[in-house]
Amino acid sequence: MLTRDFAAVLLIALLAGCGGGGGGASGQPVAPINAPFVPSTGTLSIGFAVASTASPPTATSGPVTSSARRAPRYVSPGTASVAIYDGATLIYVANVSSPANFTTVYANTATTIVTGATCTSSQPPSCTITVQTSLGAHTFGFVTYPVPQSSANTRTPPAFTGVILAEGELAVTVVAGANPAQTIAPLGVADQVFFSGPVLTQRLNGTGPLVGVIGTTYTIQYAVDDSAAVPNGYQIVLPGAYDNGPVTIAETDGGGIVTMTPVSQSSPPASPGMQSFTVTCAASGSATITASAKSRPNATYASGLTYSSANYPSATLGTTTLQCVSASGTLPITVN
Amino acid sequence: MHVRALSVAALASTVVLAACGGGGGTGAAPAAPAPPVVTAAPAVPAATGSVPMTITIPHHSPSSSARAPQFISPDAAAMAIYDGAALVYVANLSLDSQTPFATVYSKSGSTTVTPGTCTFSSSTATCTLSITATTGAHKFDVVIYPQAQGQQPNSAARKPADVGTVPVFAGVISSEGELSVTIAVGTNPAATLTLLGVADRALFAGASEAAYNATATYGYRIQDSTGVQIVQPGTAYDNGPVTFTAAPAGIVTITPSSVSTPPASAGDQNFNVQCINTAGGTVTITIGAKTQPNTTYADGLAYSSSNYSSGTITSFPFTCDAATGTIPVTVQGTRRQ
Repeated sequence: MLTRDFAAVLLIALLAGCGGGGGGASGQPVAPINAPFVPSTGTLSIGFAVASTASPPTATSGPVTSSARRAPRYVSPGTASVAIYDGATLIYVANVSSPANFTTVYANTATTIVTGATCTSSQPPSCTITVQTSLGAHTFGFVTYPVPQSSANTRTPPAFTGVILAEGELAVTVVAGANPAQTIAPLGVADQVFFSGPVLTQRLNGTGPLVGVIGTTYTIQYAVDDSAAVPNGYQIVLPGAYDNGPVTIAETDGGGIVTMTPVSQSSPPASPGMQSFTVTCAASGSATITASAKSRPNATYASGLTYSSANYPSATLGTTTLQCVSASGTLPITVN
Repeated sequence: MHVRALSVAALASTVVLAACGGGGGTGAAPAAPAPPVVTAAPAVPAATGSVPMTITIPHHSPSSSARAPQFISPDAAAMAIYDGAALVYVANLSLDSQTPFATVYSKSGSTTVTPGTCTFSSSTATCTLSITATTGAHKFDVVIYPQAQGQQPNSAARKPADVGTVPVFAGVISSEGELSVTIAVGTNPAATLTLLGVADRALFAGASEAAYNATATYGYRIQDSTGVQIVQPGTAYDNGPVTFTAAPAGIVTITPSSVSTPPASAGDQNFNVQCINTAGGTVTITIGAKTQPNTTYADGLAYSSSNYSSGTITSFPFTCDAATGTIPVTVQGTRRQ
C-alpha cells in the first residue's frame, strides 16, 4: 500500500541571483562600467502537499466503511510519483516514498530544470520542488500518480503508468531572481465512488436478500475517491473541484424503480466523511444507481497529456443497486 | 341442545348399540363413521330391567357420509377469513370439487385472499390458500360454517372494488382458528393453520339404568355443527373442555368428568357412570361445553346461540337402582287340624 503522508507543497520560486561587478580604481583609467548583470533565468519553488493519513475517523452516522473512515486529503496520500511539466515539456519525474522522500526518475536538463526537491519531516510533511527556468510566462503542470514510475535513467522520460490521482497547473510569469513562493492546489480526479447502505430491514421471502419497500425513503451514503492503490482509494476533499467533475449520481436502469433527486457535485466536501442522498422506492424491481464523471479533465492543461483508460478514469465511477418490492407479502396457508 | 337421536334398549344390564346410517362410499372415500359402541359392560346385579335402545344417526348423503371425520369438516360449507377484525374473504365450499372455493365476498384493499385447492385423504382434509397483506404482524382468523352463505343485496360495508357482498352469516360455527404471523415482503414461508372444532353435538350410547355400585359405560362422539366428529390435528376443542355432569348430585359419579383433547382419529370415546347411592335415583346426565371459545380471537366475533354452541351438547336421564328391595313373599302352609 502506498500510503504516504505529505504536507502541502509550496511552490516557491527562488531566483538564482548572482553577479555584480567590481568598482574602478581612482586615477586609473576607468574601465567602462558594465551594464548590470541581469540573470536570464529565475527559480521557482513548486510546493505540493499530501495530507497525513492519520486523520481521525469521523463520527459519521450509518454504515461507514474503512474507506469512509480514512481522512480525505489532497494531494492524495496515495501519491507515489509526481510529474512536473513546463508547458508541454516534461521537466521532472520523481517517485515519492515514505517518509516523503523524492527519488528522481527523470530530470530534464534543458531550459527548465529542477534544482531541488525536499520535504520536511513534520507531519504532514511539506515538500518543495525548486525549478530554475527562463524568464517570462510559464505554465507549470503538476500530475500525481498512485504508482511509482520507472525509466532507464534520469535522462529518459518514463512511460507513465497508473490512473492519475490529481493534476493541476500554475500559470506564473517568472522574473529574474527569487520569485514569490507559489502554492499549487491540484484537482482530484474522481476515480471511483464508494456506496454504503441503505439500511434495509426487510428480507425478501423471509430469508432472502434485504430489499426496499415501495413508498419508503432510504438514505444511501457515498464517498468520491481517487485511484490510490488502496481499497476504495482515498476520498477527495477540498481544496479544488473535481478534475473531471461534476460527479453525478442517478438511477440509470431506466425503470423508474426509485425516485431521487440526481446528485451533481462539482466540488468535493470540505471535510472527511460520507455524503448522502435519498431514494424512494417507487416500483418493483432492481434499481441501478450509477455514479459518473467525465473521462477527461474539464481543463485543457498545457501539458497536453493524452487521456485514456490507461491513465484516467472511465465515465462510470461506481454503481449500487436497490431492489424494491411491494410493501406487502404473500403467505401460503394450509388450513386443516 | 342437539341430540341426533336416542333410544336405548338394555338387555340384562348390557347395552347393545344399534348402528345405522351412513352413506355408501366410493372406493377412494373413507368409510362411514360407525356409531358409538359401548365397550364391555360391567356385571350388574340380576333382577334389573331391560331397556330397548336404538340410536338413529341422521342420514348423510352418500358422498358426505362416506367421508371420514376430519377438520376442516368435510361437511363444511363456508369459510370466512379475517385480518384482525376485518372480514376480508368469504367463500362457499365444495371441498371435494375441482373448484372448492366459490367466492361470496372478497374485500378490496391491502389484504387479499387467493383461494387454492383442497385435497382429501383417508384421514385428513386440507385446503390451501394464499393471503397477501401488508408487511408486519397480522392475525388471520378462519371461521368455518356448516351452511353456505348468501349474498346480501345491500351492504354498507361494501366498497365498489369489493367482490360480492358481506353476507349475514348463518349457521353455528363448526370450527375456527387463528394464525399469528409477521408478514415479510415477498413470498413468506408457508404456514399451517389448524382449526379447532366447536363441540356442538354428541352421539352417545349406553345403558340407561344400572344397579347400585355398578358402572355403565357410555360410548360417545363429540361432533361439530356439521355433524362430524371432531378429531385432531386440533389438540383442543374450541369451546372445551367437554364436560360430563349429572344432576342431582350424589347419585352417580362420572369418569372422566371432562375431556379437553379430541381423539386422534375417528371413533368412540367412553365415559363411565357409576351408581353410588344405595337409595338409587334418577339423574340427568349432561354433556356440555362452553358457549364461546377459550381464545379471544382477533376477529372479535360476537358469539350467541345463533352462531355458536349453546353449551349443552346433550342430556339424557339415567336411573340407578336402590341397593335394597322389598320382596313380597307369600308363604303357604297347612293348618294342622
